[in-house]
Amino acid sequence: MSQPSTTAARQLTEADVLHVAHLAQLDPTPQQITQYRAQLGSILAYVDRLGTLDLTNVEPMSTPLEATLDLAAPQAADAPTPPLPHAALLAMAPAISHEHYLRVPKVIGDGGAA
Amino acid sequence: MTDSQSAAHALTPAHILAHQVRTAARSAASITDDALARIARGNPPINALTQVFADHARARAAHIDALVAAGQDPGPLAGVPFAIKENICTTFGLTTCASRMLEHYRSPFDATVITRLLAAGAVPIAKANCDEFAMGGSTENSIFGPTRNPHDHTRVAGGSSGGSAAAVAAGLVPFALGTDTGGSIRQPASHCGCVGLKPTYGRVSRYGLVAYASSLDQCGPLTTSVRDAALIAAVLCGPDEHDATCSPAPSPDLLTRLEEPPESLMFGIPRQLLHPPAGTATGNSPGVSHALALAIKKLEAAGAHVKPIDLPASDHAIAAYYLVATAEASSNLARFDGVRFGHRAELSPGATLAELYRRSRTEGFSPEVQRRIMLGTYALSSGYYDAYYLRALKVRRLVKADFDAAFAQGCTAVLMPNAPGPAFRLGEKTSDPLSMYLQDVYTVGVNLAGLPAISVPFAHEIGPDGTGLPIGLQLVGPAMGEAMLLRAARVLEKLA
Repeated sequence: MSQPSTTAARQLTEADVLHVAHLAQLDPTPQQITQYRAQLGSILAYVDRLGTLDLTNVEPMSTPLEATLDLAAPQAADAPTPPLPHAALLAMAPAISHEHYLRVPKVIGDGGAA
Repeated sequence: MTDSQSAAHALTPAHILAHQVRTAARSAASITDDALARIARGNPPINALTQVFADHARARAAHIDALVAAGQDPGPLAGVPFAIKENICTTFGLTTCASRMLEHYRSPFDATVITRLLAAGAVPIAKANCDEFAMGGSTENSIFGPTRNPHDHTRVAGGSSGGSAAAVAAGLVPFALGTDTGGSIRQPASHCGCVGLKPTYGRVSRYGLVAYASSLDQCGPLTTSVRDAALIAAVLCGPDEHDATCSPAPSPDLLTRLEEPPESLMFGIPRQLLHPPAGTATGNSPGVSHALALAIKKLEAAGAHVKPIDLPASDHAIAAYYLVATAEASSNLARFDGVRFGHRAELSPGATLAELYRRSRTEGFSPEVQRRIMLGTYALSSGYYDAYYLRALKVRRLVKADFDAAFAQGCTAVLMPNAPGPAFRLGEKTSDPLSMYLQDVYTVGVNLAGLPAISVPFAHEIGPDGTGLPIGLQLVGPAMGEAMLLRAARVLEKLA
């Protein structure tokens, strides 16, 4: 468990950052893009060390639950339970419409263009 | 020594307060009033607590006193005030996650940990500051501003549960709830000088914790003693129908055999810390190195066994952790879209739904949260999934296998630091995210492996200005091994 050291920044292009921002539904400013490019590049250069490991025949572990649960067994009865009240859910919404609906911009036609 | 430091631990421990209330030796109302006075006096200089529920707490305390007067059982934590990290849902007050995104959010339900503590008679009195969405190691990245270390106001409290740790260390509350995704209970506990327990993944329900990384998150207590940690963990643990990842095992008896003789315990010490390879250093501060060496010496003198162990995969734990955690965060935080809850951007007429998503998320999340979402999105994206996310999951398996091997060799617990040094200065690492992440070298492997671990205050490192900065040591136990872990922690606590 030696102390990790930082490594040189990986080459990440502005287009890479914009692509990831698009996938993540974020809209960074040009200044933020420059900053994220450097910071994410440096982090990726560090995590690239995993590429040097021989991981042949190592099973991926997505959860530690295999130590505490029988994952093959049902975890809960397959039965409906009452949801939170409609009014409580609507009370959390930042904008509602006609008292009963979540309000969103128009999505039909060209309204949902991503 | 600062004023706050002199107040540290002055509050009576939770197990004594509860005993006093249960035996009618002291009223819950007077304990609540005392805590409110401490908060009013002690919180402003350190900014540990974000919301104080004075009326709500007094009403709860009156209810507890009424139960005692009626001869009914008020619960094992009767009348004990506590603080709650900002990312735990409560029907009282706001649940902001210290983020602009949830600045005005009111939860329609209580987290299971809150329900259990209320049933046990505890009195919620405040919410505690943290890094936004629990993403950070210093409690500087918060809409409430930074929390300051009670022992030195120029230094961080650690994070992300820094408000919880500072509030306990400054004697504002006898215990607080934190969450630990990569060390967020243990590291601030170490930096502030209190006990912090991260239970086994699945021991405590996550229902009502705002999710950061669902396969790593776990809730636990920050306290002034190991006994209090055991008392509160016993209330928190146990199955929950609202969380399918919660173990069906009943809450263990953590108190009956807490005082274990040291001779029955074996502490594994990572060999790299005992004998760094030639030409290298552990990178730990002098105070951390001294604390570890002193602990080994005292444990052996007390009759405990100490055994060198190997954790080779831990060298890669940070890299694996920051891929797994951010990948899960990118998925979990996709729910914040400006439609169902949280911040919604003001847009001009004709704006699209996609624009609403992007503007709401960009305005609502701080740069650190956006950075983590983008890193996780990248790790999961087409062409990079195998190289990053899948490899990280394989390293996770190796990290767990190393710990399993140590326990198979008879170790009761693995002993190591929580962080390479004591609390660092405010602003020291905010401009370089990677340097902040590297502080997590001793904590993240535990979350990857899903194991229980605890930080116990053990020593102090004298800073440049002569201030004593707390150093905690970490003990890691096998899955579901909280009872034995707490016994080992109690031994270490008595040797401090």
